[in-house]
Amino acid sequence: MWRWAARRLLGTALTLAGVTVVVFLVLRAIPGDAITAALGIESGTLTDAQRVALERYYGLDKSLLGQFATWVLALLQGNLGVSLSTGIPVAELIGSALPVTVELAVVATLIGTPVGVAMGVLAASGPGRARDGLTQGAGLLGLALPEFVLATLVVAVLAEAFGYFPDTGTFVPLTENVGGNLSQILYPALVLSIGLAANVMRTTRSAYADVVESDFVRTARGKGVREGRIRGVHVLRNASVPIVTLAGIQFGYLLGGTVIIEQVFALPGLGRLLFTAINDRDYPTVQSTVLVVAIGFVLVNLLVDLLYRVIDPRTTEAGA
Amino acid sequence: MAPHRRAIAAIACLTTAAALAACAPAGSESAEEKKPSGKFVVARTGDLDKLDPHVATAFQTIDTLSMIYEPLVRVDAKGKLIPALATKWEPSDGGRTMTFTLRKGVKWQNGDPFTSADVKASIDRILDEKTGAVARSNIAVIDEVTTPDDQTAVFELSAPNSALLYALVSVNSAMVHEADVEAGTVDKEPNGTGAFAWKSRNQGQQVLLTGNKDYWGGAPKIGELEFRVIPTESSILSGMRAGTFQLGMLSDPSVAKQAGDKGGDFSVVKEAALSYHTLMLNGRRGPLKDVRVRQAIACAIDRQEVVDTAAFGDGRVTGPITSPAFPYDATDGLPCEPGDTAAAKKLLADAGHTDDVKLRTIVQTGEYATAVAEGQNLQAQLKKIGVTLELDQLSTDPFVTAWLEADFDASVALNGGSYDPYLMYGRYFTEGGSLAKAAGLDSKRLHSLLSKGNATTDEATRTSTYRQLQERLLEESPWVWLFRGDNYYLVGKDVKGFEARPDGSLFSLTTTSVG
Repeated sequence: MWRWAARRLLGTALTLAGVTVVVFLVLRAIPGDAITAALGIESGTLTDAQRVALERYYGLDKSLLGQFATWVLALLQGNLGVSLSTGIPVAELIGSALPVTVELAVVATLIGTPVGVAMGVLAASGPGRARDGLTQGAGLLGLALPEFVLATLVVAVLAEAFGYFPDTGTFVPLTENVGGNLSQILYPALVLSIGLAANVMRTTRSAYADVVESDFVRTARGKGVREGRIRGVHVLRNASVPIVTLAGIQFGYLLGGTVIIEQVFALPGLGRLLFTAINDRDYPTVQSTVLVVAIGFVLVNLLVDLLYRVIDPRTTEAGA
Repeated sequence: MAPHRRAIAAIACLTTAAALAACAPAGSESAEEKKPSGKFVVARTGDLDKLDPHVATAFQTIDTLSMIYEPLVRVDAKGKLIPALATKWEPSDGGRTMTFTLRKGVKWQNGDPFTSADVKASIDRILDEKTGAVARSNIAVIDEVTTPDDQTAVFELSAPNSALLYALVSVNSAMVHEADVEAGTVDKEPNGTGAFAWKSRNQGQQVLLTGNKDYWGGAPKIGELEFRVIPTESSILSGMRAGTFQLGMLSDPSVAKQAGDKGGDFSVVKEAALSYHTLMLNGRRGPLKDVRVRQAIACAIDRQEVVDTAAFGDGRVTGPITSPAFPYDATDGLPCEPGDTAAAKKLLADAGHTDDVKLRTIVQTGEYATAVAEGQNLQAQLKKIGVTLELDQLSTDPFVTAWLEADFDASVALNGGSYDPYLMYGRYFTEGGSLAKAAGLDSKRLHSLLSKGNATTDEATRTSTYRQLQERLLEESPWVWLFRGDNYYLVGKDVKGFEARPDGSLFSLTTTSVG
């Protein structure tokens, strides 16, 4: 157990260090810099002295290594840097954006996972039958519908038909007003949960089908355990390993992948923060935000690993 | 509905995942609490990024700070200079000296009086290269500012310069308080003389301003002005339909088309901008060195067709100068009528080209909505005369780099406009102009017309000179001027007194009222 924990911890540290380096390099491989991003063609009218002054301001006068060292040293002191485009500390920006995206991801997962599991079980319980085909079709549709189309449609229908606009652009934190907050989060989370549910459904269906065929199910049947109990408890518990894995990966993905939804619903989350910062070539903001997303991903993975041990005793014996 | 009951309703929706209809709330919190009168919400796609007016470039930043900070002089909607913080300005010494008489009784929002010391501090700050100020190149002609008394500021110029007054109109040349410059707080805590004062911001979401009761032009009727960030234009439209915003700002013709022209919840106001869409040609390269080839391209293009296909008809075909003060026919100076492919082919043949002109054409993606459609339509139109546009779609940074280096044969561009012709074209077509490379043509004639128009203090000479400039620009055809695109404003039905302007200024909000 301790060895496992130590190994995990080391792996995590290496992963995050890798992310740090890769993001730093990829970001600088994108053509352009903060000056061109802000000024566009007007950057051509700058005098040399003006350009030098701006490069110093944006920290572009240092070598790549110097820029990297500056950032890492600050990071180790717990300082995430200052946004180049707005002058606001990045920690503050992330602090206000993170809860929005986490809540969005949690609510979407809470909706999408049970719906997906239920549909998957339904499809698997009658392979080749009408309900199987219908469920599969619905799943395909859910995967195929582009998020932005769905999101735009939802916003338009709410406004046109009900004169209602989730009062976006002024986000209400959960801690301030539960109702107001949920009314803003609910619709975007619903849209997000559709793709998630479709994915979970497909995984559940195949995992369930695999387990139903296995030896221990036959044994249980032979022992005379009720079919309902077999399917509802034994099969589902054994089928849940891949489902939990998928839900974990999907949740991690949502932490960084809610850009479009946040754009359409005007939610001030991490996705939008990242999107705007990349456009502005706001290096410190992008680097720190990606790092936070990566940490989230790693934590979710850790949680999934722990869940395995609870769900499936065999994983511990194998030494994981 | 009380908050906790709404929460229960929301949870009920979650668990049933029912159709949207069943879950549409009975209205949001803000709709239930009647909005305080005088609250005015403007929805736009981006947030302001900086608080320093001298380095502001994003138009959201310029719009916001223009409510707080004021220039010495303004222009009216037609482009005529009118007083702002200066009530009078008089040239002397053959235009080498400009004396400004400042408005009395003006106060900064922190209570201090506005004096000539603030004018000097502001101009010095813009001229200081360390500031990185955007307007520096436009006012670099100022050698020195002297302040004989509190109400007078004297600008000593290195040469007469009629564009200077127009350069002072921009918020990039706005007056800031000397005390703030000295304390280094200009980019931290906005403090202007304008109709609205800074209240607070919520990064990426909203900016709140309050009406300045002590404003020298009279207190605005809007008590609280809010700029709300709604990144997607279609969501802005939905918000207008739901009555959440008083004013929505759009730029994408396809979204504006969805808004329709119907009355009801709001009206759609279209206003042609000063900026202009153009096909820039690189006259220093290949076949384009021959003026007949450039004229052929300018002749072959039916400008209205570009507007109709790329911008759903929302735009105005324009001559080179887009200011309403210099009206000019879009093609007067060309040796043919536009869209005349026969004449265009003849010009090409005279220049010795048939079917062999291939132009690498750079198009900017992701910056404005119509770029690619314009490129494709121009490609289709020019095919008829045997000119092939090879479209190279580039995102902002590679585009800007290629554009500044003149690394193109042709470029589909949207260039900024101004009420002053010299500010528009001096940087492109004068020797040593900061964007002369991108302009793609060196012309002594254009240089001398621009210099003459800018050096005169006589309005009639200025007008006739810039008229000649337009004719000459069309004759030499360094570029093909296409159209001025529309800006769209969705105006709530209870909003009174809002006026859209070609320069995009929201100044009319100082006298707008709601309800």
